[in-house]
Amino acid sequence: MKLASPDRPLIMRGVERTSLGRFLLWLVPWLALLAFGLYGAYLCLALGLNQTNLDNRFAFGLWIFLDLAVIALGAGAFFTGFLLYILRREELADLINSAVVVGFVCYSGAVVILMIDVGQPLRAWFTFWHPNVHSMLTEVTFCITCYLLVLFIEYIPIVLRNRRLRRIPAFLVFEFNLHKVMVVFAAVGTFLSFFHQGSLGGLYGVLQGRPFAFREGFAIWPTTFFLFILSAIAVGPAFLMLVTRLAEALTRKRLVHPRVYTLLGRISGWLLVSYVLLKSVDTLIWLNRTAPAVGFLGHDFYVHAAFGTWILFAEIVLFGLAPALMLLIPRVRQGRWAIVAALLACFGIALNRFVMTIQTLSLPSLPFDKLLLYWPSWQEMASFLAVIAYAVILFSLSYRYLPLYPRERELQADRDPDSVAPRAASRTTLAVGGAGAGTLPTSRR
Amino acid sequence: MSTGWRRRDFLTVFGGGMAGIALSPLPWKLLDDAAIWTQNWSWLPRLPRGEISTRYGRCTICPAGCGLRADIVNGQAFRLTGLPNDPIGGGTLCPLGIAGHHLRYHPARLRGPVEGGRIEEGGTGRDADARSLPLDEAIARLAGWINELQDVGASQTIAILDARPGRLLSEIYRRFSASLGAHYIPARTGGFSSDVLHAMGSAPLPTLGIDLAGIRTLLSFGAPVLDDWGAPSCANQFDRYAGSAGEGTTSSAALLIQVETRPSATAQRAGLWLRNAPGSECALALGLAHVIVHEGLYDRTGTAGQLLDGDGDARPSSGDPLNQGAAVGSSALCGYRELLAHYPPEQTAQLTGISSATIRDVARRFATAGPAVAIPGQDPGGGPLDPQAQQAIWNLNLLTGALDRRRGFVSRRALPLPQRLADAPGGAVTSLSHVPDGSLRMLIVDGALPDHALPWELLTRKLARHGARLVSLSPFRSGLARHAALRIPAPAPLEFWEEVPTPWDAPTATLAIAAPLAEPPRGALHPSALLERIAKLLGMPSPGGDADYLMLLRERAAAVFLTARGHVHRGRDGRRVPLDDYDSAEAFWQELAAGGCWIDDADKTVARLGPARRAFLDPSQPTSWDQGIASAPSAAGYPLTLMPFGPRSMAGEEALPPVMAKLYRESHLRSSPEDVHVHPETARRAGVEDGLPAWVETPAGKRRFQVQTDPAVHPAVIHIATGPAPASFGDLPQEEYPAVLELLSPNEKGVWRMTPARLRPVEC
Amino acid sequence: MSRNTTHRVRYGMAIDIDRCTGCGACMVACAVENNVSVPPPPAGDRKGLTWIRVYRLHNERPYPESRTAYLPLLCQHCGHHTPCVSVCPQHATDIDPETGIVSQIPERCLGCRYCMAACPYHARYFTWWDPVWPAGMEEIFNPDVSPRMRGVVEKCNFCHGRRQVALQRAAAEGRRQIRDDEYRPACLEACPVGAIHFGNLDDPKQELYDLVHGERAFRLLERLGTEPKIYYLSSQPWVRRLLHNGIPASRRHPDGGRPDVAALRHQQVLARDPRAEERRRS
Repeated sequence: MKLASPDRPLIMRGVERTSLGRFLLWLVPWLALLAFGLYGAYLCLALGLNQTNLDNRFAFGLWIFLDLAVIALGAGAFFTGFLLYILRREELADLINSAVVVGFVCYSGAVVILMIDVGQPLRAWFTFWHPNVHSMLTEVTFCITCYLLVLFIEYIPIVLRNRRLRRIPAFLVFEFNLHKVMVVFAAVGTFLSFFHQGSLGGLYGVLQGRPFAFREGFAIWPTTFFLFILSAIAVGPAFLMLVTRLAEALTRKRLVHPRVYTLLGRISGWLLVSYVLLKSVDTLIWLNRTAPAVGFLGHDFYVHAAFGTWILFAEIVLFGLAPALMLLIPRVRQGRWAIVAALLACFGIALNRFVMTIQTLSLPSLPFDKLLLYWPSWQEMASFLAVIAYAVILFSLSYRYLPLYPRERELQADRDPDSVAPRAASRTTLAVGGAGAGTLPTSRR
Repeated sequence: MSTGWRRRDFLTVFGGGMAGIALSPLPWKLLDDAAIWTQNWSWLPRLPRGEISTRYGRCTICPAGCGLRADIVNGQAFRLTGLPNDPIGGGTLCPLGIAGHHLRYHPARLRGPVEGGRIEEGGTGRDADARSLPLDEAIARLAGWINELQDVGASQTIAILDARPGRLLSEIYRRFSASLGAHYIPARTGGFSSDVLHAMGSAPLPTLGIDLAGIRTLLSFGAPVLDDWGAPSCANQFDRYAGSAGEGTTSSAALLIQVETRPSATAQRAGLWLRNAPGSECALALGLAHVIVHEGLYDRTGTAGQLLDGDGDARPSSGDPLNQGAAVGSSALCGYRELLAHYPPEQTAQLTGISSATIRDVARRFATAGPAVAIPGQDPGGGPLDPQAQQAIWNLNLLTGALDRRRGFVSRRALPLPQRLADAPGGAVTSLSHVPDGSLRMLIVDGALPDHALPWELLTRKLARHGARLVSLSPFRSGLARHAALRIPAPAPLEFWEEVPTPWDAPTATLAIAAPLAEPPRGALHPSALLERIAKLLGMPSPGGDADYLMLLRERAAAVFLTARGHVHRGRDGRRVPLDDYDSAEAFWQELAAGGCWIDDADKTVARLGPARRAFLDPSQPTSWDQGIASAPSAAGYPLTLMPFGPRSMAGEEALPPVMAKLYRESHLRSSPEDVHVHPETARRAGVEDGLPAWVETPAGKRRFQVQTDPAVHPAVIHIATGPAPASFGDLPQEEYPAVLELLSPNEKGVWRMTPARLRPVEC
Repeated sequence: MSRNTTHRVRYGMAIDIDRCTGCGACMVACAVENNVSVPPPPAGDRKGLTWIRVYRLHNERPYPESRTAYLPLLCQHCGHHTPCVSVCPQHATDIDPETGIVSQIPERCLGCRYCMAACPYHARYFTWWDPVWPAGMEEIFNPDVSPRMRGVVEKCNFCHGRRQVALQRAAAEGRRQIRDDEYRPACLEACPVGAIHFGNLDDPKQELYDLVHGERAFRLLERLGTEPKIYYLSSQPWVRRLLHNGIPASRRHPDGGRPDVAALRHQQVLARDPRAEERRRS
């Protein structure tokens, strides 16, 4: 039933891909969305940020909220790398490549949106030239730029493993050498990520003038610094799980071993539980000590109907504790409910970022001021949808032409999960960069 | 060729080249240049460079004429500040004045004559719809139109509307209209209406001012005494005499009692604010008079005493023209006493919504804590009080002797005219309400920025149904100019020699001259020169006595110099210099041209105004006093009263310095004409919500406004600002603006303060 | 000639709320002085450029207890842990140690608006539009202040341009320091009721010193601990209740222990309902 697609020579050997026509058809709506979004972005760049519904009070809006959310969800990339390369959880080799791509699209998309969000993108490099080392944003800028570079470097070998590119010996050698040092990049990436995830939290936690966001902390880091790291690594695996499940559903194929989901769920569950615990302690300290010290009562923050205490409950219990407990129960973790739990967890993290960005700016700080609300303009939404479209397109292309799921062919050949090759085999598969490595030595070590 | 150049080589060279470029300084240079470019965008304005100098002058945007200091670069004023100790401005300028030098760059500025494009023809009043024409042609066109009317003997269908009476230019308008046989209509100033003053005495009253120095009680019936900024009337400087008048800071020396329905800035800051029921000013004044007369607190030694205690004609007419009214006799007084009998405090309390105890207290304070003065209000947007209320307020002054002494209403000498104009003074003055409806076929509107709103309805009523032409001399295509068939722009404020008229309530005459700070555009023509040229074309005598405006101003200054009275507030240092210290009229003129302000000595000989007896009551129309409540024409289904208001000089749709948008658009500091102010309870009952749109309906139509609830608003009233229109700050289509003036129906006396109205929610 | 760097001043203001009439002269004077553009109508009050903005305060009581006051709000030039300065990633805003003035360098600003999110006073403004003026108006620009480009943050700098001019003039006359009356911000100069006082907060000889140390003085959001240099003066109890969230410095974070939450709650109840205290007593 193999179709003679014109791009067949580019597709991995031994895996099934849909016809080029159907693939292009799948891309069309996303390309349209991308074009629409690029138009919105163009308006923002050419005519200025008056095209947005941001204003002097809502200096940050949809873009920053989604940037924070996306970067948190993209944490799966570095954390999987950390688990695989440093903690040696070899099961994760099944999806490390897809994790890198997910991370790359999340981070590159976020950086592009940031460039539209700032008023003078051509001066963005001033941060490197005149850095204010006391600013969390400087830390974020440095780390995200460097980490994006790391992700790029991690992405290169995956690209070079394309069936066609691999024919060029120079690329092969380059990829091989790059692979040897990948553990270094994984370590660097982990370090950078820990820092910028934390700094993104610190971004708001240090705002002494915004009692709703302000937190005390350790040394120069407010508690949000640590909570953001914890929440990001807790939800990163959950998001990877969702993405892989979605890819499996769309391609109607098994792409990773079910064991991987169990592992991701367990990791996510335990981290989420500890996050919820610490977040609760932090909230109590903030409400009873930090905020009153600067003249605000917890009550002040929740008097407005739009942002009542329900939002606190939703953030910590409904979208925090509930998915955490679900993921900790093995039966739930292995069943279909795992997807629900992962969804809840991802939503919870987005809600947390929403609360820190949007709600902080909504709440009045001056005693005579009132609550303000904001609704993004179509240009803002379009620009962001363009990033979604870009992510889908890049992921689709990567899936079609690159070995995103190294064990795909293997799993395809043998649908029975019990007869999966032993651990060493998976290791080899990873090392040789995918299932179609028949023409190469099976091991380089 | 192709043998030596393979793809591989190409890739190598390309890759190597890219790597090389990346490592070269080029990308960094590009990055740097891009950033430098963002710092020097070509569309960013370049700053003026040059030596900075200083000049002194006067602001002529509103009639006040505050003294100003201009910092000049390259011959252009870039910063205006107040003159220290200036007798008018008091050392500062209002927001309009601070940005006054921006006004001439307003997008609605006319740089030459324009024809057509009026709103009535479907235009927007903007240049795109109009045809510009050369100055000479425009003058010939106007002269031709006047000539047409003259030929058919219809000169009386021509009128000139003077936005700022009291100037020499006003004199020229009067002379021109007199020799043409046309109407000269001065715009209203503050204080008592001229109609009311005419009704007060059979003889013409002298020009009245108010001597506020030492006043202990100021009873203001809605006058915006502490609103906005200190100018242009002297009463508006009351807080300077009385000290700050906020809660907890009220000075015991002076008390401002504000009778006003609206929670205006004056009401909020007054020592005592009486929020009366809408239109009950007359009832309250009569109620206060009732207490004063009943308790015998009136001024027994003055006119009131003679009239009320005596038999009515105790003092025979002594040849004083002001006493000629004495012959009215006791019947009038009987009528007055009878009238007051209807207004005991309890009755008045019902009509006004103010407790009878408060009415008694206020009446006693007003009568005993003198010197006290009662002044009628004229909100710049809400228009004058109705004549009866003004008459009742006048009577309060009469009762307490404020018309009989210094520290109250005083007469002041008029400014001397230049010799050449003094010989043949100007013609009669018509008030707008006296012009027959539908009679005007040509209306020439003066170009000065009006300081009060004038509903277009009031003017259209006077214009002939067909073929009426409006000619605007405004430097801007805004306000009334949008209705004009022909616009011949005058120089904008600060562009021409101008005279600052004496404030309506100044106790003595004043004279100040505004020297130009900038050149007018080529196509602009001062109205005096325009009339001069038209008179020449029509073969009429020169309205300016064959002298140009600057020469007339100099001659007026010379005439003032010849009186040898008064002193000059020097512009550059605020020092008071007696007029005698100037050795020539020229030196005096130079001082005036440099921001100086001449102030006459008080006129000691006419300190007593004398009894204007008819003021107490005109018995011929007792029935009209029945209610004491000037109610809006009642209409079923309109439970609320719409009371418009507006800020001075900005109450209409005139062009304003665009930077004023900071107060209206970029902050909520001042009430936008797109908001309707409602009591929260009223809003709840009408089903409308704070911050959301609602319909305001009157018999004249309906418009959409934003609801702003304010617990200080009277529950039966809604307030809407008449201006400034959003287009005032720049060039915008007028359609976006729900002009409240179009919802009002002014009555035949030209009063439009109250209109029946209702609120309706906007259905989604 | 170099300035005398040993001479340190701490410029600050005292604004008398009881005197302010809300006329707006300060707002207009500020915009004219600093060549602040007027953004097009969609701007409204949320995208405007008002370096000094006068807010209307209301006690929300019906007649006859209704009271209005006006609060001119400008950059508070915070002296301690200045929220905006500490967060700017590229030193585009800084606090001058010599004058205490918080400055903004639009040419370096990248327009990230982090400082705006950080400022509790909402005293920073972003140029959402290209600055546009009516044709020809650049010839009457204040020659001492550069107009800002689109996409940067701008704010009050105590009319820093005027200080520079005063310094130049002093230098030309051979003086090392400027006299107190030589440097006055435009808002102060425009105020018709003299509600704004400006000067060196550290100079006991100045009138300002007595004002800010008097019992009418307080600062906005004092408890945030940012040491703003704008003081407000009022004797009106409702104004003080509404604005004054000051609590004795001894209890201020971080030098104090646990704050007195009960006292704070009581204070806030009072601010919302002035009658509560009376009811409690009776």
